[in-house]
Order: sequence, then structure tokens, then C-alpha cells
Amino acid sequence: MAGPVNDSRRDARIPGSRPRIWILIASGMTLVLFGLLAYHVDETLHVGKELTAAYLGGEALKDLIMERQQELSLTALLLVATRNEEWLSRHHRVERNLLASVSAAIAQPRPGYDVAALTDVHEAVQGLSRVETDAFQLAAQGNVSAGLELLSGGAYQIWSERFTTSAETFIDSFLGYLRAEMEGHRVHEFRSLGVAVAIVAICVGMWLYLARRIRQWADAFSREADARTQLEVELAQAQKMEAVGRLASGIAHDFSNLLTAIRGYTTLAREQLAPEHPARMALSRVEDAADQADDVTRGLLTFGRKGAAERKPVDLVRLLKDGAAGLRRFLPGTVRLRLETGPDPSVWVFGDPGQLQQVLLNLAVNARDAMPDGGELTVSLEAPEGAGVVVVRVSDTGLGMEAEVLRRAQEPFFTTKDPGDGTGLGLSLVHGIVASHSGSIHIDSRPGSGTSVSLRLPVTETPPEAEEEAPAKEAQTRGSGTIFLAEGHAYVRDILATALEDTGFSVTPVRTCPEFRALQQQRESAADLIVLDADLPGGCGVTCLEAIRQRGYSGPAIVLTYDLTPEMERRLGADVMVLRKPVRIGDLRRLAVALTGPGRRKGPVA
Amino acid sequence: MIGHIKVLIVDDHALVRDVLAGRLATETDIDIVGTAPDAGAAVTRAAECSPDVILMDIDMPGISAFEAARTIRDRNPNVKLVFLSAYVNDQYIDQALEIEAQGYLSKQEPAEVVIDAVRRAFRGSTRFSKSVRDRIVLEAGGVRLASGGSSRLHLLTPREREILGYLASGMPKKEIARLLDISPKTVEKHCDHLMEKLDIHDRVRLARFAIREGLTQP
Repeated sequence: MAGPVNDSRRDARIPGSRPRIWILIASGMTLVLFGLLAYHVDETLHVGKELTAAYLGGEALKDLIMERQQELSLTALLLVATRNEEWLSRHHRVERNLLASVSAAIAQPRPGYDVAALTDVHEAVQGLSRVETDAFQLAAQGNVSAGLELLSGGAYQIWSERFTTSAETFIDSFLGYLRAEMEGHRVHEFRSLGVAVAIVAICVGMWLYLARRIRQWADAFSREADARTQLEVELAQAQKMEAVGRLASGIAHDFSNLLTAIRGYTTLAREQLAPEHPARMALSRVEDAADQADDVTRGLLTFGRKGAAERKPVDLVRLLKDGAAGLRRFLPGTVRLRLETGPDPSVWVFGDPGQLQQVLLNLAVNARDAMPDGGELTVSLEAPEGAGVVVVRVSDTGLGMEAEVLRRAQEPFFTTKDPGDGTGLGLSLVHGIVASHSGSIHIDSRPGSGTSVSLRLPVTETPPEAEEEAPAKEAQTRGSGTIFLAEGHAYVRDILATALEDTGFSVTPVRTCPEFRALQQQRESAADLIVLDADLPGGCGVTCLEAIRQRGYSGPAIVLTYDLTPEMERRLGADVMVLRKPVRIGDLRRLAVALTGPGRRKGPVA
Repeated sequence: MIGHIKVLIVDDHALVRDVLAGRLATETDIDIVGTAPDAGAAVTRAAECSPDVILMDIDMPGISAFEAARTIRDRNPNVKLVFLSAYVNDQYIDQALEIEAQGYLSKQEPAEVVIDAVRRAFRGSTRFSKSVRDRIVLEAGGVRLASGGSSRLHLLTPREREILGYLASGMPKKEIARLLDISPKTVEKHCDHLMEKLDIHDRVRLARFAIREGLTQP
């Protein structure tokens, strides 16, 4: 009674295979990003500090040079004008300091210092110094005005201008250097910023991707969990149904044995009564009731059937007619049952009759429950010519279904009935069974207009045994005449002989070739057909047949063989009908009848 | 009457045993030599009363009826077995055929059928229901029950299949004979056989069959 398991749910697998690697990569990128940012902050601070220090250093040197030179000019003027020795010592001190500072800057220039300009400054200071020394000497000799003239003269002016130009050149080039440094740093920073932005973009992308993957994993996990829960519920339900089924078949079995006893005793009792005895009628009724009870137990057994599904040709017309008889008993009086099986006397499908009965039963139960106030249940069958399918339709005039209910109707465990009234498995079981028969199911329903369930099943060719059992063909399957049957396997021989005898033949069975030869020698009568197993003990079947034919037997022969070799085929020729095992007894019976039918020759043996 | 048929009845339901025994005992040629309530007891009883025919239920508690039947057969290969079951079940029939039982009957059958089966079994004949009998397949070394529908195509020999293909594609018999380098009479014989085997006696239906079976293209 296990319901169909929906395998598609098992496909809910986790997308992607290694989530840990993705998280590691994303975290690594984020770390790299933070590292880069920290490095840049540090570098910018450092560069800023360096540039500031350089600027201050350059500015200080410039101030020193300009201030000292002014002081030198001033002290020189004062010394010449006043001839006070104090100014001379001050002048010398300032001059030494200035030359020492410039010389130091030349000897160890900082980045951006223009050494040529500084050398010029140094030379200008020395030039000025030489003119001032001449002026001091003139003043010391008492010629103050000549000394002052020298200090305002052309040579002093030329050196002064050279000094100013050199100092300005130094400052300009140093500021130029600083500007270039700043510019370089800015370009570098822009580049770094670009890289940082790129890394940020990658990181954001990775985290977004990761978030999506995590959501997918979570969804997949929850789907898997849901599917497992669902399967567990289905399993529990299926086990319950299995137990109920087992119980039902147990009851059916015991009950059936009791019925056998009831029927047996009834028959015994009736046979002991005189034909006109009034109790005979009562006993007939007991037998009828037992037959009905038998139908009920058969229904129970169908419900509780175990094991693998059978697959055999099933006549749907007969199945529906038999099924309808059962349905009438369980439908309430308010529900009319109409059966329309169409013009065909039989429509064959390949399937499991028990399962197909169950489909009909489940659909009928749903239809009955949809018509609490009564109505009409129609079971119809259509087999359009040449379509290759048969459509079985079970329709009711009941409540019908809303679109939402209709959509979910085939889900397992979906039920609109009260708990305990329905398992919700009925329609999904129908679906499973129909699918396993390569069929399809279609449901039409509207609230208030009833429901119609259509099943489409592929039809199969009429099985040979069914053709034979059809009344029209019955005459053809009766044979007459004598068959010599040579078969080495005792049980197979028994079964074959019985089957051929039941068909109307008189069968003379033999086991071996010597027996067969003995038979043809002692019998004066004729065989109408020889059925011979080529695999007789000793492997002499074909030789034996050849011998018989040489002795004048010209009637039909059927040779059964498992392994038809070209050699055997050549020896047997075209006159003998060769059947390769496995052979159905039904086919063999039919051929025996056909070969011995009217118009066939009768060959004398021996 | 050559001799009485000694019958052992095995069924777990006392009522069924009794009614069967009572009914069979009314036949003059049948003697009930014993009954057994299960398959295990049947093995012992069979050894004690050496029956000709054992009528045995299949659905019984304890060891399987087929297992017991095998043991009994091993000890006495001549004993005939007829199985009875509440309902006909393909798997049971297959097992019954495997141990070469003389019959398999449903308990719905009238008593006369059971009696006939016992008599047949005694004679070495068999009794299966008609629908089962035609589904029995002769195989190399035994029989089994056909499990599904099958095409009649398998009845044809390779040569017959070949000729069917040519016939279905509309080739005249003389042409086929020339193609296969055999006499037209032989072709004629092959045609007769394949038509008999397929139970198809006109060329249009033959062509339809060949197309359906994939022997030739439409």
C-alpha cells in the first residue's frame, strides 16, 4: 500500500560545493582592503611630515640668508660711519655664521636644494665682504666718505644684486621642488585610491555574491528538510496503510476459507436432498450469499494486495463492469451510478488489474464524498479509433472544486475532508498508478458544476488468449484428430498433453526416440500431427523425424527447439514448422488446431 | 476400477479440511488417507500414509507449502501435488510450476473441479485454469508462467522473419526466392508457416504487423 514517492523532491541539493572557500576568499579580500587603507593613511602622514619639515628647513635657510645679509650690510655701514670696533666684531661674527650655514647647506644639501644657487650666494657674500673690507680700511685711514662711497658704489651694488638673485633662485627652485613633491604624492595617492576603490568593489561584489549563495544554501537546506519531513509523514502513512492492508488480507483469507466451508457443506447438504425438497431453494440462497461474500473478500484482498505490481493485458471494459458491480454496493442510495463503456466489447491495456480497480475505487470514493446530497456518478470509457489511447472518465454532479483546491488536489496528504475521514492520499495514489501505467490524468472542476477526472491510458493489442476465449473464435480453437507427442521432460509432456487433450485432440505421448519409432511400427493408425521436441534425450529428435518422413509420413509437424542451428534448419527443410522456445502453450494449441484444420492432409504413419 | 486414489488433505482450517474430506469421500474411487493442519505436519503425514495425491493449501502458517512439497517430492518422487489457494496469484502459480505440481486451483472452484483435478493428477495429467494454462511457457528444461504480454513475433525463425520483412515491403514471392537463392516452393512454405504462427492471413495485415514490430519501414 506504499504510496508513490515523488523523486523530484530528492533533487533539492545544495548548490555549489565548497561554501567555506568562498567565505575565506571574501574575508581575505576584506583584510587586504583594510591593510591597504592603513598603509595609505600611514604613508600620507609620513609624506606630509617630511614635506612640512623640508619646507620649514628651506624657509629657515632663506630667512637666515636674507636676514644675515641685511645685518651684514647694516653693520658694514655703521662700522664705516662710526668706526666703532664693536660693529667690526659683530660684522665678522655674522659673516662667519652666514658663510658657515651656506657652506653646510652646500656640503650636505637637502632634497630640493639648488647647490649652484647656494654657491652663487656664497660667492656673492664673499664678493660683498671684499668690498666691505676695502671700505673698512678706507674708514680706518680716516677717509670715511670714500668708504661710504665704496659701500654704495657700482661693485657693491653688483654683488648685492647677484646675492639677491641667487637667494631668490634658491628659494624659487626649492619651492618648485616642494610643489613637484606634492604633485607626485597626489598622483600616487590617486593611483592608490583607484586600487582601493577597485578592491572595495570586488569585496562588495564578493559579499553580495556570498550573501546570495548563503540564501540559496539556506533555501536548499529548508527544502531538503521539508522533503524529509514530508517523506517521513508519507512513510508513516504508508506503513499505516500497509498494516491496514495486511489486516484486510488476513481477514479476507480467513473469511474466504470459512466461505469455502459454508459452500462445501451447503453443496453436501443439497446433494443429500431430493430434487423437489423445499430446503433446496434455501440452500441455493445460502450459496448465492456466499458468492456475494466472496466478492467482498476479493475486494478486501485487492485492497491489501502485496508485492510488486503485476503487468498483464487487462480488459478495461470488463474491469469497469466488474468494478461497477462492486461500487453499487458501497454507494448510498441517493447516488445513481451510470456506466458507459462504448461500442467496443473489450479494450485492452497492459497493467495491473488490482491497481486499476483501486484507481476506480478511489475516484468513486471522492465522487461519492463530493455528493453528500446525492447525484449521479458516471463512469465512461472512450477508445477513439486509431488514437492508441483509451480515456476513462469518472464524473460526478457534486460540489466541484475551487481553483486553489483543484491546483493542490494531487498533492499527497492534501484533503478537504475532516481529519480521520480522508488520508489525502487517494488522488495522489491514483496519479502514481496512472503514471506507472504510462498514462496521464486530467481534472476538470468548477464549484457547483461537479468534477470530472479523465484518465488516458495507452491501449495494447488484444492478447492471443483473449482472442481465443472470445466466443466467435472458440470454434476455431477446438481441434480433433490424433497427435503424436514426443517430449523428454515428463512434466512438460504432462502439461502439453493435457492442454492438447483439452483442445479436443487425442494425444499419444512418448518420451524418447526409440519409443517413438516403436510407436510408428506397431500402430496402423495415422497421426494427424506430430509435435516433437528436438531436444529429446540423446539429441535424436531431428533424426527421428527424418526417419518417420522417409517412411512416408507427409502430414504436418511442429518441432520445438531451444537452439535452432543452421544445420538443423537445413535438415528440417521448409515443410516442418519450427517453434523456438520459450513458446506459450496458448500459441502451440492454436497452431496445432490450425495445422490440422479442414483441408489439411492426413499422413499415414509407417 | 483399477485402484483407489489415496488423497492427503492439507489445510490450516479444520472446516475446510472436513468439508473437502467429506466431499471427496463421497466419490467411490477416492480414499482420504489423512489430513494435516500445516505444511510441516503434511511432510510427516505424507511419510506415514504414502498418498497418491496431496491436496494442499498454500497460505498456511509455519513452513511454506512449496518447501514442504519439495521435501515430500524428494522422498517420494511419484506423489502428485495439487495446490489450493484462496485466490489465483501469479507468483504462486510460478512456484507451483517450478516444483512441477499437477494443478493449481482456486478455492472458488466447484467441488467437481477439485475432484477432476485429483483424478487427473493421479493419471499424471494436469489441471490449471484455462487462462493460466495458455500463459504457461515451454522453456529449455521446464515451464514457467509468462509474466507479461508478448508479441507473436518471437514464434518466427530468423528465416521466417527475414521473409516477413520482404513480404511486408511488397516484394513478390518469386523475387524473394531469387534473392535468398531458394526455391519458390520453399518460400511458399515459409509464408504459410509464418502466417499460421502469426494467425494473420492477408498481406495488408501482415504488412501492418511488420511495420509495428519494426521489421520494415512504412
